[in-house]
Amino acid sequence: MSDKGKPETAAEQPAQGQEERPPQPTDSLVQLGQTAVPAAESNVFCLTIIGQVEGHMMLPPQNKTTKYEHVIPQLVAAEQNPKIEGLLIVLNTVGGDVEAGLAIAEMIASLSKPKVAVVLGGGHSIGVPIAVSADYTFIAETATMTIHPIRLNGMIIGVPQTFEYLEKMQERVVRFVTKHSRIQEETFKELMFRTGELTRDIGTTVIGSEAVRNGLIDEVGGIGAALQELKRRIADRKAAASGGGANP
Amino acid sequence: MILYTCMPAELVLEGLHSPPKPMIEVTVGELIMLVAPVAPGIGRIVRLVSAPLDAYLRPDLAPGQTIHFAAAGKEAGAAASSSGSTENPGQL
Repeated sequence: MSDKGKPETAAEQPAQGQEERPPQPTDSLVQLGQTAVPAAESNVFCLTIIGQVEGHMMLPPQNKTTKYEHVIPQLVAAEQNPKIEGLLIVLNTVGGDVEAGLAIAEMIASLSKPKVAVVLGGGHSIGVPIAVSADYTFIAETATMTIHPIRLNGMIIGVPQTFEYLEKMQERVVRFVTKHSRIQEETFKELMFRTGELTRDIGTTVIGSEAVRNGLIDEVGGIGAALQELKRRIADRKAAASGGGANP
Repeated sequence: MILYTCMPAELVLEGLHSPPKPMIEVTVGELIMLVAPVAPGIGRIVRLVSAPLDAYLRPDLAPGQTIHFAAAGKEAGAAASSSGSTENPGQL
């Protein structure tokens, strides 16, 4: 009995000695046969809004979609996760469902953590309220934003009622955009109802600096500028929190 | 549903009335997801039906990612049988 116990303890001794050694970068190579070393965790959560914003109905498979039922819990998770200190929202969207788009925009606007948005390629239609919902917004020099009225699709039961409903939906978008950006309501509506600019619709496409000039977007810039701004805002928030902690 | 998009509605909605592809519900631990099978045992995540909050931050569980759900189902089945549940998603 006692003889059996001895070799076991002897075998355990070197193992204990090994545990004391601090983990080496080559451990994953030796133990797992892979060269990938654990990457440093980022404190920024990147949310991409691409293609069509998909709402209550699943769109046919030729559409690339951003599913709101995934984005909304993602935003809740980002808000409550202590490791995430800021959000970078990257947009390249052609629009989509009004309800879902506005829900995402409202959620982003209500987050307490710093958030910066970048419009790359395009932020059209319902992408406009999503873009302006961030604390600070960038647009790439060549990126575009199409501002146009909400078009009718689906069944018409009564013309006046349908018109009134569409008008209400549009008002929600206009109110949100004017509340969360520097653009004036008159300017936004003027862009929305301008004729002769779009081939298939009334409205306007604003490109890069034009969006900044109209007050829709804060600055022309790309990912680098956006990350720099986000880091600055994260540092400001930390400084404010530590300052508030010192003098309650 | 009101679509507010600069894309022509007929392009976006083309094929809307064609029958949807079959989807199955896969349970892995406390994660329930809707998966569209692409090959036996392999599927593409359509959406997470019910999941812990942090699962939504994992890029490998984002909609459109491919998963091996048969293996995941076996694991979940093993875990479920130990906890008394009879659900075996691999057979769905």
